[in-house]
Amino acid sequence: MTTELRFVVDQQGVRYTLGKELGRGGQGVVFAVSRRKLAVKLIWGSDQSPVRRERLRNQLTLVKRLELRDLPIAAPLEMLRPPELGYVMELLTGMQPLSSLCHPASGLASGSLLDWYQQGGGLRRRLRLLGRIAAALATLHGHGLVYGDPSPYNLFISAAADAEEIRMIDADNLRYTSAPSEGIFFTPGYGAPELVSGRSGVNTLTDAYALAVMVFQTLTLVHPLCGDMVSDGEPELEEQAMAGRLPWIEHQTNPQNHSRAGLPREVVLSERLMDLCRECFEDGLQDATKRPGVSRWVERLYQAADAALTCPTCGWSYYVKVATCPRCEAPRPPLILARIHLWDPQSGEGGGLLQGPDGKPRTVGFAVATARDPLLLDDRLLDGRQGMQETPRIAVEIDGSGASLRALDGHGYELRTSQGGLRHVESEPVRIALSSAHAEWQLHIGPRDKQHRVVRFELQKESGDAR
Amino acid sequence: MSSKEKNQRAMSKLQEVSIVAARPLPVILLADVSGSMAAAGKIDSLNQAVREMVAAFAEEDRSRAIITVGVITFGSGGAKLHQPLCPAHEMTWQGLAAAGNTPLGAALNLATELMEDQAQIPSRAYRPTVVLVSDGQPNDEWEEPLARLHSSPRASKAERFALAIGDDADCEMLQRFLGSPEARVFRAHEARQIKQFFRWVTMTVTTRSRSINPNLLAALEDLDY
Repeated sequence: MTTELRFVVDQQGVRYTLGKELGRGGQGVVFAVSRRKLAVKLIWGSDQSPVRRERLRNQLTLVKRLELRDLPIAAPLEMLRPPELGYVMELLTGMQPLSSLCHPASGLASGSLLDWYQQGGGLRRRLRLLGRIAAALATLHGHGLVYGDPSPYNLFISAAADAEEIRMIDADNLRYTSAPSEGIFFTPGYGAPELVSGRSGVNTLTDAYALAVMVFQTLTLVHPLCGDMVSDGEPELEEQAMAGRLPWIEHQTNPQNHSRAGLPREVVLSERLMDLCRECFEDGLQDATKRPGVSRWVERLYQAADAALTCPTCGWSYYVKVATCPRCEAPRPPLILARIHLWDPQSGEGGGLLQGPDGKPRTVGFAVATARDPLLLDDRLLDGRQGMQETPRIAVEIDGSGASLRALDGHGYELRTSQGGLRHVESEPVRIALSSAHAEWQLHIGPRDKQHRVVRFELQKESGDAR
Repeated sequence: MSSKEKNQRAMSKLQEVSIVAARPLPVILLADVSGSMAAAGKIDSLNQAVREMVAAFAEEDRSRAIITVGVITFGSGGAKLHQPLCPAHEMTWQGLAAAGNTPLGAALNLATELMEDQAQIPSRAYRPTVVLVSDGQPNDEWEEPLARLHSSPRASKAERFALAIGDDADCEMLQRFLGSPEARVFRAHEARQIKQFFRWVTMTVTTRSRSINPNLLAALEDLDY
């Protein structure tokens, strides 16, 4: 019995005292190890089958051989000694499953529900955590591997609302794509319809489906296939929905399975995220090839996170295009909009910003900073690199009617104006005055004779403030 | 729609946000409270075991299923709904007192009615668990009520447990209640075993409630590592 198992022993004879249960899924249960930065995964069933044990051993060997430095996988350390089937892994203390952000306590009134959403870091932190999860899956796919059974129960996040670590804890489940016959595991609710029906094994697009469900559910608090007819119906109807036999809850032409539950979609899903959800759950529901892959989610989740800010009055986080806080109606606070452009050394005399077909500088990204949300420009924004490395390079803070910039990576950067103004951004903060009418200052991320990214800053006053 | 109107629409909705409650997972206890249960501390052990079971249910995570408990007694005055179905975490357990005969048939009828009543167990609920506890021979007609329970659409799908207390319990009847030759009647000859039985029921139900698909019955029965 789970509750009575107090310790386990690994193959080297080392004994581990089991602490709190951290999570459980279809394959097993994960416990923290008391007083150590470790966790133990026990696989269901005290199956003595040497075949299963051998398969687990091979799997863990495969994972140990991978270059995991760029992947947030809880690294397997040692297998357990029989009769247990399982292994010891590294896990930071203070981590909990993503499900802690998807399932509020039952019976919460609307106000408490929104408080709970906010305490979990609100929209902005959810988007950033989901972005990291998507990036981890994309990196894994880049190695030719799939996670197999992504679910809110085996993807772990920092428990503290001001931290954004993630860990994948199912190292034993990583695999190359599988055939349907290989005994497919999936967590109900997160298995793509072709897995549910047994038409297919796991692959990158079944991972992408699970990710899409997690994104929609973590942001809106409702499952994309569980509309009112499903949640009011018999549990068997839910199985039908999971097999993809009913329209999703936001179907554009078929409102049959519409849902009144959850957060208003337009408040938590950016338009571009909603587009991806439609691609995945309309045409992509039955036809996996029409589904967006995980790298498209990475990009759009981070873009959405970059566009989110925190209300100084109530702490709710929302998208920058909305003029007043959706929760308390306070005006949007003053903010710095950092637009990211490309420097073309061939353009004009001595180079210039790459222009789009409309003759304006092409924007390849943007991010906002408010007094509550300092902006960290990292490799992703400054190099366009999509990966797990997010080393912050330059910090931008709003400072009255200007911005204060400082380099965090020991390098120096040039700030220039077209009139020949020049400032250097180094480890000491540099203040620049900003106007809303004209983005005068350009922050160069590389030398002007090479292609690089340029950041331009503009100030947006408080919404409704006509001064 | 202007962006202002759009925002106001979002605004009004953000004030009335709700989520879908987890599906109920009903547990129905059919308890023999005939006079013989008063002997040898049987009723006291039963009360204590059920109280512990309800307390354990109340502790369970409610994100995937909400365990609800109802109690039907059969003894003095016939079969009664001693405790209407209620979420375990909101329940105050009222102890049972033993007196009278063993009107099992009436209790089975009440259980079937309860399980078929959509107002009591909504159609969205997971399959119920029914636990029958008895220390004697039924003294009313029970075979037809049992056949009804076995053939009614929802009661027939229930997961069933049976406990025989003492040597006088009608094990054959309890075996027929279980309805499957593989299912076993748990026999208790002392108070300690009554508690053991309810711990087994508790574990099976909580395993289901924690399971990723609580509608599967005892899907993780190989859990005993």
